[in-house]
Amino acid sequence: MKKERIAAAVAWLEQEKLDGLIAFNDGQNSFLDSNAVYVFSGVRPIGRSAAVIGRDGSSTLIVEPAWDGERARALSFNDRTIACDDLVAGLSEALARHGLSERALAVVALAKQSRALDRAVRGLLAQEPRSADTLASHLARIRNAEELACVKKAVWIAERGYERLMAVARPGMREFELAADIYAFMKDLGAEDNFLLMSASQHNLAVRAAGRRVLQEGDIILGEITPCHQGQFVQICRTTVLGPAAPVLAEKYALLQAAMRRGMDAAVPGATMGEVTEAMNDVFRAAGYGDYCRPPYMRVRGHGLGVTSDRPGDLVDDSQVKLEEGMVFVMHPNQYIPETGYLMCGETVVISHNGAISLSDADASLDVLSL
Amino acid sequence: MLTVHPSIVLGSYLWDEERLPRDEFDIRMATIRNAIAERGWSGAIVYGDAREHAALAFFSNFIPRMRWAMALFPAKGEPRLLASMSSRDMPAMRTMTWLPDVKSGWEWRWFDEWIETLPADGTIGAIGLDLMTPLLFGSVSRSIKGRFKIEEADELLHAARRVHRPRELALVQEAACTTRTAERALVAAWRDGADIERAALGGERAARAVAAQDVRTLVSRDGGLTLQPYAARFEDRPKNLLAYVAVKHLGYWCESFVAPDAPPKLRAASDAALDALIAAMRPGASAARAASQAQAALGAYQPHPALSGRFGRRIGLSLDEGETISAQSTGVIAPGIAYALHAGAVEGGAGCISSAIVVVRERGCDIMHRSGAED
Repeated sequence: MKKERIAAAVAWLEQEKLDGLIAFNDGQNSFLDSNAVYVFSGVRPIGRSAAVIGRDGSSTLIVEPAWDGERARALSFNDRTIACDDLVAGLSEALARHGLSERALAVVALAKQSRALDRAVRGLLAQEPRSADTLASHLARIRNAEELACVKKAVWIAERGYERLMAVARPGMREFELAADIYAFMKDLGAEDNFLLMSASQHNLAVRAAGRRVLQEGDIILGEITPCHQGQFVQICRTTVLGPAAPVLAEKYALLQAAMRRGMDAAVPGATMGEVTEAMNDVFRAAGYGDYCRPPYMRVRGHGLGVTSDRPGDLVDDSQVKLEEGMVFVMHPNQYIPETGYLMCGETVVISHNGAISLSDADASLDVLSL
Repeated sequence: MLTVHPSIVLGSYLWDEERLPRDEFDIRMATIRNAIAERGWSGAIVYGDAREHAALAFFSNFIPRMRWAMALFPAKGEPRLLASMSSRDMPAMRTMTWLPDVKSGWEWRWFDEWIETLPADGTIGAIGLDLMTPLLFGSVSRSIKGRFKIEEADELLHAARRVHRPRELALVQEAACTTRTAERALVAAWRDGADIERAALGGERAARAVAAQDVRTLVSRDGGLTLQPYAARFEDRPKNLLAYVAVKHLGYWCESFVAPDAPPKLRAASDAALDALIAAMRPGASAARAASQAQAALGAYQPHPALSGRFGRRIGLSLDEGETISAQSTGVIAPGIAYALHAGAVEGGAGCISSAIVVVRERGCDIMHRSGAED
């Protein structure tokens, strides 16, 4: 299925009159950024790696370390896989085999590698390569059917993870104990990675990684639950109160839900991310919180989900990126409100021809755990 | 061992002043203070990212959970830390370092402002510059605008960390305790009939439940011949268990291979090679000779391919702090250093790796952790 990404890359090379491209990854994974090697190989590497694609459609994956070769070969949809302990030597071999060492090439995500690797790679190339750092992200911006199925499974895992949180959270527990429990629970359901932020306070400034704080009655638990299943990250944002919730909490949380609905209504094919952001911000402005629609009181109103493609990027008011059918991203009008602290509400959505569809079975509400 | 790097280091972590008091960092900072004084630097930059941050953590205690961070030390005045996170996240970032001034690296004015405080037309020392992306280095270069020269000074870190400090070794020892917890839980899950991935997950869950900062695992789906990361397949239960678990505690790593039911002869060979290696780890001994003694103890067995011909390396703030022990090594074993040692073999469709974390002392090795000790 993912060979379609190779075909798209070849079409781009023909259009740009380039002979080939090299995509890079250093083994780091970001849920906010494309992994260019994953997009062009189907492999999430554990060390430094590169994918070489020639304009003739042939491709080679190079991974470190050598002992990861069997796994990489089993997962890769490239013609050849080189597993080695020296990426630069492996890349040199691949370029020679493709006849590309002295040809016109593009490099994808080389600017995101270390300076040391950047120098070494440029030393292999006879011509200055063209930077195409966003190519993988652009070509993979629409999830294919196989990827969308994994996205839906990941959302299912996220919702089960949240159910687990509500089942086990109790006063006296430390944040890291709760995070460990729900992280392992979701991993057991198939989440190979998880950008899990989960923290609690009686007045949160933001969500953060779990620490040693002991949960207390009246705490507001924030959960940014972000499992990755088969290379597809999703995110749901939830707010849970340990014990009775003050009326003001429900009142202010309703603002986030209203902003979410406005955002969903605005997110139709052709709309810009900026227009969707403004629709959400309008709800907060109308309630008198216009000055809080900026960091440090919030970050963004949503964002693309990395590894495959981080498009359509951040939901910020100046984004001109237009939504397309099949794009997947998280929409989250998370907001600090002076009377309540930071609150979270968010779903992973897919853009259909009719507009945004939440992939959650149950959208976020202010949940209260009886003690 | 290389493992899949997580999208975020999500475990419990903050600056623990009882374990790493401010005076510890005053001592560590002497290296940078002296370089500033002796080399006439206007200031110094120490860079680290989520993947490699030994230098940054050593001097600042800060470990990026994702992306990058930079500690900025002026010749005079308060140091600053830039973390590549939103300003929204700065309160949480401030709990991870002794540096008093923590700012968002997304607002580059904070770097420019720091530059403005430095005496002009000088030199800025830099550690970890080669780890930076060209994009970030470009931003640094533009801010310096020819007013300062950059002097790459990675050798300062090596000098400051020639041996592990006592508090570092104590934290490796604590990481070893958490590793034992993980190892016991992993083996227990395996004994209860779990598949290889769920057994590894049992180990990870146990370590995270006692505040591990990070946990990495690898599993063998084929009885010990190869190692692979977690893939949520839940279908492999080979005859023999071979797994790898690494645990980070307050910034410091420990690791262990778990092979409780490897074929006895293979286990005996791996253990004999590890014993030979530990015996050879004497101050002043040749690392290559230590490797050759371990190799000889393996006898006719084929060395385990996942070890890539290596028998060990330094461990601490990084899983791999260098000073590899292999036939090609040119270095010598030094006292006061924590090493991760391993020896393993494959034969007849099975594999085994034995491992230990040791601290080399004048009298021999202190063993902080040895795999299989509690089988």
